Amino acid sequence: MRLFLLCAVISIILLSTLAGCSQDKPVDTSVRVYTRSDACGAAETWAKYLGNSKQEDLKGIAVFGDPGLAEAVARDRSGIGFNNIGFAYDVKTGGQLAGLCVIPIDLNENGKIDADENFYNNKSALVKAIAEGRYPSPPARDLHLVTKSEFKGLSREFVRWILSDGQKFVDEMGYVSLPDDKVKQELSKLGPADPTLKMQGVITVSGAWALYPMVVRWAEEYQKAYPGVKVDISAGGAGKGMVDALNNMVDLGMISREIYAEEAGKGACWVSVVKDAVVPVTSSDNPLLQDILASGLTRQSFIDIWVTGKTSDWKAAIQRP
Amino acid sequence: MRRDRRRAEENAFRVLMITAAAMVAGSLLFVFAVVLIKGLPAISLEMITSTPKGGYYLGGGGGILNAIVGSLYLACGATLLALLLALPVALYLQKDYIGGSRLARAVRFSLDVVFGVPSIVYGVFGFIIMLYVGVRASLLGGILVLTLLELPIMIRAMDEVIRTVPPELKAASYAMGATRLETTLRVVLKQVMPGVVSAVILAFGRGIGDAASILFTAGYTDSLPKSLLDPVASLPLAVFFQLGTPFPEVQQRAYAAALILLVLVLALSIISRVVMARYNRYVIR
Amino acid sequence: MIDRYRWRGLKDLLAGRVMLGATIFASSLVVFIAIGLLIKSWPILVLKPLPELIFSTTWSPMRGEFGFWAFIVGTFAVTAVALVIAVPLCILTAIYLAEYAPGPVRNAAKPVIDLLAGIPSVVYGLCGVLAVVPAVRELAALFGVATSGYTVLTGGIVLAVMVFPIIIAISDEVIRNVPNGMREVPIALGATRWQATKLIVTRSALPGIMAAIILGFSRAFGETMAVLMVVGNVAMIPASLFDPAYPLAALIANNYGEMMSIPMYDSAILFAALILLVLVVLFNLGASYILIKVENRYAA
Repeated sequence: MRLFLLCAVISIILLSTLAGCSQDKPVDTSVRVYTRSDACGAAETWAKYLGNSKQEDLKGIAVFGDPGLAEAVARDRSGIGFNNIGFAYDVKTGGQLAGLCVIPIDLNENGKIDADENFYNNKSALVKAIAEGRYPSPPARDLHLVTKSEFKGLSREFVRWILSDGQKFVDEMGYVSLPDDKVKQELSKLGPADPTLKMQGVITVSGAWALYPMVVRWAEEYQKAYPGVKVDISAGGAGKGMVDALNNMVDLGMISREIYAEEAGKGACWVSVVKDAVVPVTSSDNPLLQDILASGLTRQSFIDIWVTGKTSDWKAAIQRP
Repeated sequence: MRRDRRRAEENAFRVLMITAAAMVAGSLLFVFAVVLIKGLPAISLEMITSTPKGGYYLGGGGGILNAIVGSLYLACGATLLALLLALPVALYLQKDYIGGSRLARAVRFSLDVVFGVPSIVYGVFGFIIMLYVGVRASLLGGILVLTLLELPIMIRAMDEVIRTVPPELKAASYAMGATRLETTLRVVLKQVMPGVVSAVILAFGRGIGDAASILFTAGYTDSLPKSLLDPVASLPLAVFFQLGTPFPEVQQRAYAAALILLVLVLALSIISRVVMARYNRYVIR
Repeated sequence: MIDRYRWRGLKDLLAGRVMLGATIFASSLVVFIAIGLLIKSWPILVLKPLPELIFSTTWSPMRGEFGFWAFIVGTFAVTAVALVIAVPLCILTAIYLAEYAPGPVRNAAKPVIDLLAGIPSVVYGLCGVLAVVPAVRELAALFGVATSGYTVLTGGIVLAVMVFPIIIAISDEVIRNVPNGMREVPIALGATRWQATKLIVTRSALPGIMAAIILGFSRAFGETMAVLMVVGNVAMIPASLFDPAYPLAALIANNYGEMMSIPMYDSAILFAALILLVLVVLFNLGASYILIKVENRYAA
């Protein structure tokens, strides 16, 4: 009995010190860098923007998955990370996701965010900027569907539909449509339709998380238009999509990065179907948030944060060399 | 003096034990509570009884009947297959057959090692073999890989329980002229039934909850599989995919899928324990 | 006609042969897996000298640098933390369940424990992100360390919770199956309840409990999803509990997608699996040795 009381007293003391200690801390302006742990198109694209690097060159705490990274940054006042636009903005309202704040990129490097660089407040403004080329590409990028050797059969018709009727669903899903001439160019890669093809059967798709919601939407509409066709979609990452497609395990692979030469050599044949982008994000509890939003960060400061490690403090990041 | 010391030790350990049990229970209940709290709002009758309608993974209508049925097919198939293989092996490891010999030690050792292989390696291997043979991801592939996954835990858990059978029990049976097989089937098996059931449930839980191995081998589909060679949906993958979307309601559905998974395991656990309660009277302590 | 006696004998023989077949199949699995992994990692084994692969800490696949040491240390670190937490808690809980818990508590606990073995790892990982990461962050702040919360300690805690069901379930069964005689004799001789329990645990049930712990260890080595969500995934040697780490299983799970796209990567990833297998073998060898010593000392 006495022992029990002793334990209780000790735990109470411990808990109160824990509560008390978190009160008085000086404001910490160091940067805590986050990146993606899973091999993904988003990290490759972001790394490409940062001086043509690769995902493995991005240093930082690596978190699994886009939602995981968003969550990690949202909960860390000193955090910096990057997300697909789909995960940085609230799907319903188009505003920034609670807890996250997109970092404006100071494109002309003049030390502040001008009116024409300020399009991050809601998704539609950003999407417009991407479509008009005002947001750099990378980190904006095309998303592709890949197959082995050539597109044929039902999957070819699905892709054809995506590039024609499917494009009207792109906006509502928060992605960026490709420019018209690009769409025409991709369509021409498909070859003529086969009039004897019966619209019956199964199309299997797998691959990148970034494309997953869009392809699910497309599949939903396609199956409405052609009830005899079923589309089976699984995610698992761009790499898995490539592996599956190149090995004929699925008909189409969803790829959220560019196709490597090695993969093309193994027979990868692709079309671009839609565009989206990766944006840098920080927590909305960041102590220097207003300063960050006013001046933005340049590409070089991002490189110094993620790749070289030279910048480890927010103050230094904002007052660029 | 001595008595005081003994009593103090007893009390100290009592406190420790209850604290430990409380911490274990607390952390496990926390996990359970998270699944319940986040998943319950998304559960509806529609979710359990219908397959995904268009756009289910984006928040649209429908349910995950495909994943529920798929998971049941996968896990039951794998558990049955594993049981068929595990029981003979676990029984063979008794002293009556090869227990205590080098072969038995080697077998136990190899099973413990296999148990330590991450499930994703099984998935990758399964994938490579399926590529080689030329089949696509399907129910059969998923069952085979899950069987491999469940086998070690089932055998080892059964083995541990079978080893506790008192040798006098078996000696009595032999003394009456029974063969090894008869002793094993009629005496030993009855004695260890509760433990065997525990092992089966443990393995079933492992099989039904694993995502990495079936990501490569079972595929995913929105419909119910009609044959062994059709791809099949599963609850862990439903959770995995839904968590990866940017829609909060869909992420909530992921928790609902996890909750359904839990309910399935719970149901199986309760059913088998009720059935086994009948056999408990055969167990000799 | 075969008479009844001979028929029973024949059945026995047949059954013995079938069981032998099954056993040989089950135990050769490890060999098949090892051979398969070896074949797939051959390209990288041929390309790079083995000491460099194992002991180098440079990990840069795009440049052809494959040093696994950081991952090996990371695996050990997280597993060790998990076991330091799990073993005492599980043994105490199992003893409590088997010996002291009142009937209703025990009957409720068993299904709950089985249930928890069935929760997908992703959910454990999510709970880890929700609760353990912030908790570790606060804890580190107490010690004056700034950390993101994605650390070795976090991975260890999540892993410990994941192996609770296995170790407890098996230990509990083993302790319960100790014949009542073992309990009654010491008490008849005047021992307290606790002394009798201590006797049971350290003599009869010890081999079974150790087997449960070994199984728990193996599960810890192979657990991927939950750990990689909370451990930080940074390829460095963790200098403290509050540093991030990168276990081998996490490496495999994070990078399976790139296997076809970067040369040598598929061999490297499967070589990581092979290293893991070797580590599990070594660990089990050590544990078996200890187990034999224990069994000899306390011949049941």
